[in-house]
Amino acid sequence: MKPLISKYFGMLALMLVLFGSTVVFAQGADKSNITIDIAYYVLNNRVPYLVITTKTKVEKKFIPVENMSVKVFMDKDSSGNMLGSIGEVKTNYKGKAVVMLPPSMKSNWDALERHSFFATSAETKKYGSADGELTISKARISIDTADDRNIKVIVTQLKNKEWIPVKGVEVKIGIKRFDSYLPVGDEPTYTTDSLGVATAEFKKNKMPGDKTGNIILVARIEENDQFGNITAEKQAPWGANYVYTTTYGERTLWSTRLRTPFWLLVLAYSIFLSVWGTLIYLIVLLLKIRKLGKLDADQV
Amino acid sequence: MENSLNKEQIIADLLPQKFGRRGVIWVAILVGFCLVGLFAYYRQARYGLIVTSMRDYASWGIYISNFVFFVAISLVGSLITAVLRLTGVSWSTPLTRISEIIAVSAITFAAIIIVVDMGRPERFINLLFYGRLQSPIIWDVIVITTYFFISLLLLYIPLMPDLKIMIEAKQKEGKKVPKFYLFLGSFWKDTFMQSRLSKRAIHILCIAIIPVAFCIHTVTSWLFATTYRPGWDSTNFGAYFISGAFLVGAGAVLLAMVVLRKVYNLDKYITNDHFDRMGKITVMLGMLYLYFNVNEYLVPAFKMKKSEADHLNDLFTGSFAPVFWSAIFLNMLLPITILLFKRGRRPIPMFIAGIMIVVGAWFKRYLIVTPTLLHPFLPMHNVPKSYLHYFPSWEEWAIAMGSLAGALLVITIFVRIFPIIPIKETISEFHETTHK
Repeated sequence: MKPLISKYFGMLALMLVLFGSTVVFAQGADKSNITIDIAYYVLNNRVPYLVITTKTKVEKKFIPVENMSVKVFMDKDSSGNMLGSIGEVKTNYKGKAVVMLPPSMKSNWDALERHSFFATSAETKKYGSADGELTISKARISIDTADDRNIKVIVTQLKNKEWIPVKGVEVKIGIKRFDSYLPVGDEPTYTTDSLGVATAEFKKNKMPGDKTGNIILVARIEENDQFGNITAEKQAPWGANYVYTTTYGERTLWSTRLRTPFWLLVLAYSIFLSVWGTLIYLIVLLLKIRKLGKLDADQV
Repeated sequence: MENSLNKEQIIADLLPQKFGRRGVIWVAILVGFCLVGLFAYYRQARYGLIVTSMRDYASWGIYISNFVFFVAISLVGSLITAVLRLTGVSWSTPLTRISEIIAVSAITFAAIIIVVDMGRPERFINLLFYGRLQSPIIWDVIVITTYFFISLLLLYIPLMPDLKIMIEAKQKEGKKVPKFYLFLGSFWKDTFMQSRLSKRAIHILCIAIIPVAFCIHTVTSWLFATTYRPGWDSTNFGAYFISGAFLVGAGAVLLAMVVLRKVYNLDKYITNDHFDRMGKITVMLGMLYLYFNVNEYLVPAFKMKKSEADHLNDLFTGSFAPVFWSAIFLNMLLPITILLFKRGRRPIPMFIAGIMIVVGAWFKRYLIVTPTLLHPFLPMHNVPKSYLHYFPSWEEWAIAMGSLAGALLVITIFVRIFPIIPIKETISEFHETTHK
């Protein structure tokens, strides 16, 4: 009897081990791959910031991964250790998170002409771990509007502690509108020459500006492999004066109830009072009829 | 009216009568529909408007169609009572009270159904406190309330002499007079002054009700016409709605005439002459409404503006075509054809024509409301499939049918407790006829 029990016990133990290992394997196999992208942005040569994007592929389409914790670092030493932690961010419903370089990293940032950024996310129940990397060279972009209606955009790069012009960079030059940019001329992009200058002629005459005619010119380097996304803005008095007029606060048909137009108030209340005045008169007549009925017939 | 009648005979004929077996069954059926409608409304109040098929695009469904239908049918009060009375048409006397009770009942349920359409009915009170005078919805609330009171007065004031006759008849029979009758009519002594004041009040009401009736349906049409959408963007909508309202009101009177004459043996009071004249009026109203329909559909169809083309094609040859053409034929073409001939202006053909007009009119209102909402100027993209079509849920059908049954129930109860043909006026006319 005893060998029989130990035989069954052994089989049971084997099944449990096999079943358990299958479950562990299945969990690992079910996890989706995740991709981390890093984009580098600088606006008006101020403090750079990074946009971290997490996404995964479902049925041949990328969909954003939200609520993903991502640790962001800058630069590694020669043995591959991360040097500076920029911070930990969590992606939003679009799978995006924004992180700025903290002031504590200024000395690290100033020390080099090129920097690498690293983003890592740990393994979660649903997704495996993932890494992303981006290396950029420091560059600047500026707008010169000294020549009337002629825009000069200068692109420079930090080399040997000096800002030197960069040739052959594609720059978009436009005017800032509500939620987009309107190209200033016919060309979609302009390329810098050996002096690092891209020149565009301002052709959008009578473009509405602010009330003194100011418009905002924008020069952008977008998704450049070497420099990332760099934007410069500059105000220029080349637009048409635009004085914003609003009917808000006036008595209109589309304003709030307390700002009903006078003509409508007069019209509506006149009709209302005349009709309901008549109805009240009829009620009075009715009461009179009632009262007459209660009087002696001879008195009427 | 037959000249062989005397006063006692007229009173005996026209006093309200108890329901027979058919009457009890009829009331039971109506109550059944109302109860199912109430249960459906309980579900809507409990779970919200999600139980309906109304979604982001078709946000107005059969509730609003029903509302427009009720408002339309209520206009009959002003047509028969006011217009015919003011123009000195005496033959309409037996039809005045029928028209007024249809008007009161319909306008009551128009007000109820508009609250039913609200997802949060308790917020209706906000209209009174925070409503904007600029909004046609507020105008509609004001004008419906006004029309309801005018109709109620126009129903009650001519009823006072009849209440006295009813009280006297009950006292003569030695029966107990219900307090309800005493409260409403015991003060009527038929004195010269009372009659004078009553006549003045009725005359003022007849004048007042016409502009208010025009307002009520014009404002209802503006709920649509002031909204920029295919099919509603029309300057013609007020006149189009009023002409349609008079037609459906006349259709309802035709039905009531046939049914009441048959059930209460009123052949001596609602005569073939009444059918003939009412038939002629209905033909005229049908042609008028047909004229406005030609304007509403032919003119935009001739231009076929791109923004309107989808809507019009869907009505003429698309998914709404069966309902559209049925409504045109039922509501206008067939009744006009039937009633155009003298043989058609008899009770049975007129009953059929009346049913056609009323049923066709209900679907016509549905066609005014829903297809437009399903054809917005901007195409419907990236929306759930249920947003693209509209077919009412069982709850919507039950509530709509319940409200129609409720309106019929109010008319039925009124017929049971009050004389449906004015007794006093009938006696006066009888005397005038015999003296001539």
